[in-house]
Amino acid sequence: MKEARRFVTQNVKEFVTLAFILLIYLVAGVLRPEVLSGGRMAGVVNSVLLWTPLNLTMALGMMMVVIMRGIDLSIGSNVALSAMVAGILFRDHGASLWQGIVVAVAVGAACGMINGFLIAYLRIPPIIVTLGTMNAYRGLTFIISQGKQVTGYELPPGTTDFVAEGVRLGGVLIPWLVVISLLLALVFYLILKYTHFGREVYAVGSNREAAYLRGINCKKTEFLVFTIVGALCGITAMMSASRFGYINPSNTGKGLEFVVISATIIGGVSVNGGKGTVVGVLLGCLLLGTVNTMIANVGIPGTVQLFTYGLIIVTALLVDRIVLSLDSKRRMAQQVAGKEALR
Amino acid sequence: MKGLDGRSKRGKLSAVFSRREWVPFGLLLATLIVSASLSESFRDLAYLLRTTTRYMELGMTALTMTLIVSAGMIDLSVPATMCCSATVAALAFHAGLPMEAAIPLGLLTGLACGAVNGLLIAYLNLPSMIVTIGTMSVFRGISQIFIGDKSLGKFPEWFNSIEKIPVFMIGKARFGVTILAFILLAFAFYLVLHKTGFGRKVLAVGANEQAAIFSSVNTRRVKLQLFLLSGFVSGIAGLLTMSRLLLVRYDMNLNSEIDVVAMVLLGGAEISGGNGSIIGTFIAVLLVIVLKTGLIVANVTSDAQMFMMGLILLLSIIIPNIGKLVQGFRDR
Repeated sequence: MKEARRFVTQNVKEFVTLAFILLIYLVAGVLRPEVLSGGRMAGVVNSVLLWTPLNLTMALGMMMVVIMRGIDLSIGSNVALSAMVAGILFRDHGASLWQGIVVAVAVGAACGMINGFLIAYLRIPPIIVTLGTMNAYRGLTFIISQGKQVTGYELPPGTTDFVAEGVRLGGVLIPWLVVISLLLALVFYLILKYTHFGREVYAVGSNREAAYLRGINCKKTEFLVFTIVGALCGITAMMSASRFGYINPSNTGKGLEFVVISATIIGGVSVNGGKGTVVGVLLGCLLLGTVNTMIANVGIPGTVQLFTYGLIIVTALLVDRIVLSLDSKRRMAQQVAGKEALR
Repeated sequence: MKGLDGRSKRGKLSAVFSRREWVPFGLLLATLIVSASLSESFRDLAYLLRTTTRYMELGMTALTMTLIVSAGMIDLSVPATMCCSATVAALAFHAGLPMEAAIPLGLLTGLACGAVNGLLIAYLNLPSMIVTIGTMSVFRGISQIFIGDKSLGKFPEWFNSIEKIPVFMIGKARFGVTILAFILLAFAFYLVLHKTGFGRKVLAVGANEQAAIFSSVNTRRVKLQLFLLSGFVSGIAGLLTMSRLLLVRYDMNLNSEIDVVAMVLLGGAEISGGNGSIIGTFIAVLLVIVLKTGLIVANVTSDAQMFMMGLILLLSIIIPNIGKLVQGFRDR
């Protein structure tokens, strides 16, 4: 019992996010009971699942960047650029799906390296670098595509199978995209928790000077993190092609950075660096996915969606803040009580 | 050589020449020369003034953004606030209020938006970037709820195209209301940031918030005031945009928050706070304007323009810091 309590208090942020997700289901259930009934439920779960993988994959990278006190605004454009390069190979050179995936990841990683080099080695603030590359990559996407989109017919056969097929768990079909992103999440969970590199990310984020004095190559770590984010952009690019069935120079990856940053922060990654977990980010993505799906399913008209979406982000921030301040007060009270007892 | 107060110990002249504003200024001159040599119409001041009015509205909000960035924060909800204030003014007009009453209502909406941001950020200590990403959707959502996919227009004749009212003319070149408002506002903000106690407090909050608190600066109040100011100026800019476009849609200035931030950063403000220059932002706004119109005149497609903008933003950061960068390459 005591251990269970400690588990909860140590992971307050994650539990708050979880509670928030359940609350949304509850509200939806009260407003429209039929949404949670047998037939509709599978559809709801499916659309939450389909909303999640792109954002989760990107959020894993964004999390590492934010833990290192950085930010990456260029991810949306990077996704568009790597998707477009692969798309042009598909369309004009008859590349196979796997060749396309390799190329997209390589292009994404190269773009990430450019960010990483400017940020880590030239010490230019990440927000400026990525704001610049955000424009540059998006412009490049337009230039190489000459403004034309790659349509579903021009994608290699089997691209959309990743959405349509998957693992069947009970009555719910879990698409391959979701499985892949969950596997990635597992991999990053292990990397961040159990490898040198993962611990270095946290160390550099919480105190760069101290990390340097401990013999950590801060620049290399930062450069690697941005390169990994770039590679994840390449994976997301292919996921987006599979999910939407086209690659468009202006639509693909548009606004992705804001959604992903919101999911990351709601998931409890601290903008002051050094704090954040994969589980929290996963819950943050699920929360935003649930919000998006429920807004449509509860029958809120389309014009109110944007407002509700923003309201929920702000509310989540507020709830998070209130719970954290209550928690820190309780902890301080405990410390005082502990000192009293020692006397 | 830096003195204890952070100022250069060398003479005044070299202090002038070592200012960061020279970078956007140099870029501005370069783009002016290139554009003028590429196109006939670009040498015509009347044409320039006519085509550039539309960026002046965003330029105004870039001035308040300079203050906010100098205080170590960011406001991404500016275009959404512009849209929201314009929507409320238009709705009030269509509900039967005279335009004279609808305009203050629109400005009040701007203030209210700023107050929401300011209260959340200053008094609840929430990170400004995330709060304004959230309120960005909220404010734009409000105008989407009320307008939907339609557009509101049909304003009284005197309200339409305010920017075309000439305040004075030089030859054929017309200095309209918007351009002069931008210049006056820039001058006012120069005084506020660099010559008043409030400006010092803003920079103090940006440089070191803890130290500012210990120097008895009411940091929360400063932050709230900054966001109120940002909301108000966004309101003005929103109404001017409405007057120029003759209508309001919910997607007014969609995605242009990045343009505003880019103007501020081009002007040499430090994103981590504690340093900002209104002169720099002013030049950077002109630079962005010349770039955008210059590239259009030179028949550069809009996609290539985007690439150029990104490149110039990066260059403007890299060029003045080459010395620092080489050093940064060596140390941690």
